Amino acid sequence: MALHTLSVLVENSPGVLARVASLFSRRGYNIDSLAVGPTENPTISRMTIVLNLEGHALDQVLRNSLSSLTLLESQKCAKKIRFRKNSFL
Amino acid sequence: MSNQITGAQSLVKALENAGVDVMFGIPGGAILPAYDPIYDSKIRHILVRHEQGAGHAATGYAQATGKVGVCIATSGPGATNLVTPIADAQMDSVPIVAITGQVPGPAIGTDAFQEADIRGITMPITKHNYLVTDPAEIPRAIAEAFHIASTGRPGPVLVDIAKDALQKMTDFNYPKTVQMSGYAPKTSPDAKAVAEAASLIAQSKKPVFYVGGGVIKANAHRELLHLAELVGAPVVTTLMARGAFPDSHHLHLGMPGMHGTVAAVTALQKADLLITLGARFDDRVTGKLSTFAVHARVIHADIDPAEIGKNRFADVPLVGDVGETMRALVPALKTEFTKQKPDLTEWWRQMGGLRSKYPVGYDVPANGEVSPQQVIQRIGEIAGPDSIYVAGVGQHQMWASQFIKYENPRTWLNSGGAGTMGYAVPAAMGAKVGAPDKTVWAIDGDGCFQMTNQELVTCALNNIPIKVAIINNESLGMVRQWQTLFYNERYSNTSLESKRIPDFVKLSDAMGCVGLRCESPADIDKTIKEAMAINDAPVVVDFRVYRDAMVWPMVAAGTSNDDIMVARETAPDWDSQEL
Repeated sequence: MALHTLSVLVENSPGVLARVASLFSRRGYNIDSLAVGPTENPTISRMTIVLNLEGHALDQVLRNSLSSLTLLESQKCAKKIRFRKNSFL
Repeated sequence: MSNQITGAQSLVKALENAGVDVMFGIPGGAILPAYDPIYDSKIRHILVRHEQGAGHAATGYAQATGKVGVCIATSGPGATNLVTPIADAQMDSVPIVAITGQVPGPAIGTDAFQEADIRGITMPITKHNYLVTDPAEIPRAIAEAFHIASTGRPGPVLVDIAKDALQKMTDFNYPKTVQMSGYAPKTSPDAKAVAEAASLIAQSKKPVFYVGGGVIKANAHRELLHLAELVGAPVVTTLMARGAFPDSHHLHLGMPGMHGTVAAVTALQKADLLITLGARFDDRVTGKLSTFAVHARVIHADIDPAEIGKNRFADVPLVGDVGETMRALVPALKTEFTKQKPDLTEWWRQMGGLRSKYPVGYDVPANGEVSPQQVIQRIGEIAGPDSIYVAGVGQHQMWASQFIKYENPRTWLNSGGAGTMGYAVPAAMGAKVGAPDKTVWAIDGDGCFQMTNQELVTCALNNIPIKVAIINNESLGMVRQWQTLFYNERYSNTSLESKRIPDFVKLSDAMGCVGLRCESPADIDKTIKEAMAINDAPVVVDFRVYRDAMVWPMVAAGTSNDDIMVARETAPDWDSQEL
C-alpha cells in the first residue's frame, strides 16, 4: 500500500463526481482526499485525488477510467506517468 | 416559431432518425407526453405487461438482430422496474437504449409523486446515462445514446427526460455526427502487438482459442473460422459465445467453465497459450483463478481496455475490434508460418482423446420419467440450427448450452453474466419481433417462467408466436442441485410444487396461448412436433421432467478447474490420458 496522487480532467457537469467516486468505491477502495474545481475552460474541471492502495490496483482503476465517458484525461502525479485517454496500450 | 415542436415530438423524431423500428414499453404520468406523438409514429410500439419485460425484450431484440434494442417507461416504479434488465444488458454487453420519463424539472429532488433518481440508480449498471431537463438537448442525447450503446464495447444507455422538457416547445436539430470529447473507442489493434501475438502463436505447442461473446457482438464469426482453420488449434466457446463457431466443426472442443466439457476445460488448463478473443476470464470460466491455466501465456483481444489484466495478466494485449484484430493477425501469421508452424499433432491427440472419451451425456431416468436433457436435445434436433434458442437461468440453461448444437451466431440468447431468472419469455418475445421469420424457442424452467410469464399475453395480442418449453422439475433446480451436493440434501425452500400449482396448460390457455403437456418419454417428439406445427399463436409446453437430474460435468464454485467432476464423486480418468 502506498499513497498515490491522481490528477483527472473531467466534464464540468452534474453527476460527474459521483461517477468518478464510483470508479473507486465499486472496487472497495477508499479515497483519502479529493479536491475539484473548474479549469481555465469552464466546461472542464480538474480533480486531484489521493488514494492509499496497491500500484496494480491503481492501474486497473486507470484502465477502468479509460472506459468511463466522463473522464477526459487521467494522470498519475507521483511517478509522472501520463495516461492520456484512448492512447493507452 | 412556427417550426417549433414539443420536446416529446422531438424525442420521437430523434428515435426515428436513429433508425428505431420497434420499442417495448408502458406509458405512465411522466412519460405520457411522449406517448401522444408515438401514437402517430411509424415506430412500432409494443405494449408490454411489466417494464422488466420491456427491458429483456429490448435485449432479446438486440441479441437476435445486432441492432440497438429500445425500451421506454415512466418515472419512479416504471423506471426502477427497468433496473434488472439494464443490469443484465450491462453484464452481457448488450446495446439497448432505455428511455424513462422523469418528474418535471422543478419537482426533481422533492420526493414528488413517482419520483426516483433513476440516473443515480443506474449509474453503475449503464455504459452511460443522461438526465435531460432542456428540450433542446433531447435530439443530441438520443443520438449520443445510440452511438454509445452500439460502438466500442456495447452496453445499455439510459436517457431520463423530465416531463416539462417533453411538454415545452423546441427546435429540432438532430446532429449529423456525434462528437464526444471523452469517447473514442480504439478499434484498430497496435501493429507491434499483432506481430508479437503472431510470433507467440507460431512458437506455441498447445494453443487454444478462448472465444467469448465479443466475437458475436463484433459480427466476427467468419474471421474466427478463417483464423482458427489457419492455425488449426482447438477452439472453445464460452456460454456467451455459443454459436460463434460451429459446434459441428472438427476444431471445436465445446464450452469451457463450471459446466463445460472435460475437453474444453482441460484444454484451457493444459494450454501453453490462450488466444483470448472477446472473452473476460469470468469466474465461471476460470474456476479458482490462481490455479487457472497456470502454464499458459495469454494473448487478450478485447475492445474494452478495462478488461486487459482485470482478472488475468495479458502477455500480449490487443485492444481493438476483435474482427479487425483477427483480420490483422492472418497476414502476420502467414508470414510467421513461413518460418515455423506449430506442430499440434500431440496436442490434438490428447484433446481429441478427451473429447471422444468425455462427450456431454446423461442417463435416462430409471423410473421411466422424462429426462430434461433429452427434451432439450430433441427440441434442438427437431427445430434445427436455424432456430433461435432463448434460455432462462439454471439447470435448463446449462443443458440448453450443452445439448443443443449451435451452428450460427445470434441463435443462442441467455443471461450469462447477471444470471437473471425470468429472462427467457420476454427476451424470446424481443427476438421473435426482430427475427419474425425464425422459429424462436424459449427453454425455460418452472421457476423462471413464473417470474415473467405475463409477457405471453403481450405475445398473444401482438402476433408474436414464440414457443416455450417449460422444463418443469417442480424445483429451483440448480439451487436444489447445490443443496444435494453441498448442503447435505437439505432442500430449504427450493420446492415449487409446480406440477400441482399452477396448471401451466390452463394458465397458458388463459393468456391466449396454446398449452400442451408432456409427461412420458414416448410423447417427447410428438409434443415438440405439435408445438412446431402451430405458428399462429404462442405455444407453451409443460414438460414434466425427472426432478433429480443434475448438470454434469461440474467444477464446484471456488475450486480449481483441475477438479472437474464428470458425475457425482467421479473425476475423469486422468491416468489413462497421459497429459
